[in-house]
Amino acid sequence: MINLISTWLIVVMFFLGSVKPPPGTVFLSDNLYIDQAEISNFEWIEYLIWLKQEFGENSNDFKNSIPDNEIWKNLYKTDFSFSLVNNNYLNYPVVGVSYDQANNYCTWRSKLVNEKFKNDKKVNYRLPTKNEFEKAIKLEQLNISKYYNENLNLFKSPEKTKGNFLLFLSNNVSEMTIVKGEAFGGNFNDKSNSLKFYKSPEKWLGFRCIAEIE
Amino acid sequence: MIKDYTLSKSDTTGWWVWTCSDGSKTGSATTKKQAKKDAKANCPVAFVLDPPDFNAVYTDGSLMDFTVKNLDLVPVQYTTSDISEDEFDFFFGLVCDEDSDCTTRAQKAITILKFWGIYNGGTTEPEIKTNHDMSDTDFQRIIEKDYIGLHIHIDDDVYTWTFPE
Repeated sequence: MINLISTWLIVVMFFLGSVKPPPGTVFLSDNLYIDQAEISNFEWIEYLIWLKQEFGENSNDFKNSIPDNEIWKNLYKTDFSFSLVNNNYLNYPVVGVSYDQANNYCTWRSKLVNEKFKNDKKVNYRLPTKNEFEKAIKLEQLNISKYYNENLNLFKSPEKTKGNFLLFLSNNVSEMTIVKGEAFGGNFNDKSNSLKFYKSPEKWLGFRCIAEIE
Repeated sequence: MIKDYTLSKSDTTGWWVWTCSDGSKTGSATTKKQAKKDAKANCPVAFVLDPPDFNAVYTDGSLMDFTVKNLDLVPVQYTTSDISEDEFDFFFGLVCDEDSDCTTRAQKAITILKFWGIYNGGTTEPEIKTNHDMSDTDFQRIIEKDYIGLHIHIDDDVYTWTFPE
């Protein structure tokens, strides 16, 4: 009998533990999931496409969400391109984005994901806290050197990545925390996982979101 | 038909993003099906035109009805009130009856355009040329069925005909 109960418990635990992570994320702790990689240029363009579709090309919502081209160009050596066609940087981290723009992205993403997965639990995306980043750093352990681009000194996010591993917390770009002006994690200039500070968009600064399941 | 758009699933939202291959338009939708539909409705279309497959039913020697596969390879059913037996014969290279006037140049063009599913109206030769952005040479080559390897690009009802050299 005890064996039966323990087997049943294991089965229940298995199903409880195998909740499907919200899109783009891996499990962090409790009801928290974190993006596998930084938000990429493709994902930012997806956001712009939606804004254009919803509010129009001349709307402030669309225009105010375009990354700072000077910052973006400083890193990628070419102008930011809204196009998905012949764009060589789709899977690299988006830079030139302000704290407010990043926050708006997370809010927008919550709306889209909840709309698509209406029958699932509600998900809220937001920027991570420093503590959440520290927890995530302990989980990051995969070697993905084949995606390294020497010219850019950046890693490209592999498309359709599968698996419960985190990417690029200690390299690529540092990432905004939920506190305005504060960033965490290493970047192409400074690999230390110390706190870093910014006043405006920087070429070494990107972001990823935390998904909190209600 | 040449696929003139690409679909990508966003890993971060689960939505589908479509973009025309020429980069002219983009959009997103919750499902792949809807994204595909939106892309098809918004992206310029390119066709490679070849004679379509057909299947005809004759009763007592007269054509009754027939199906022809369109450019999406979907069989479309026609009756002889849609496309006359003469037009059908012309298109598929069959010989007209001796007592028939066969078909006019305009009817020939209309027949072909209807089979391809890209007919955009017009009953006279000038009207057909105008409605389909055809030059005299384009028109002539089409009615002579000299169109193997022909590409047509349609964007916002603007037709671009490219014949092989």
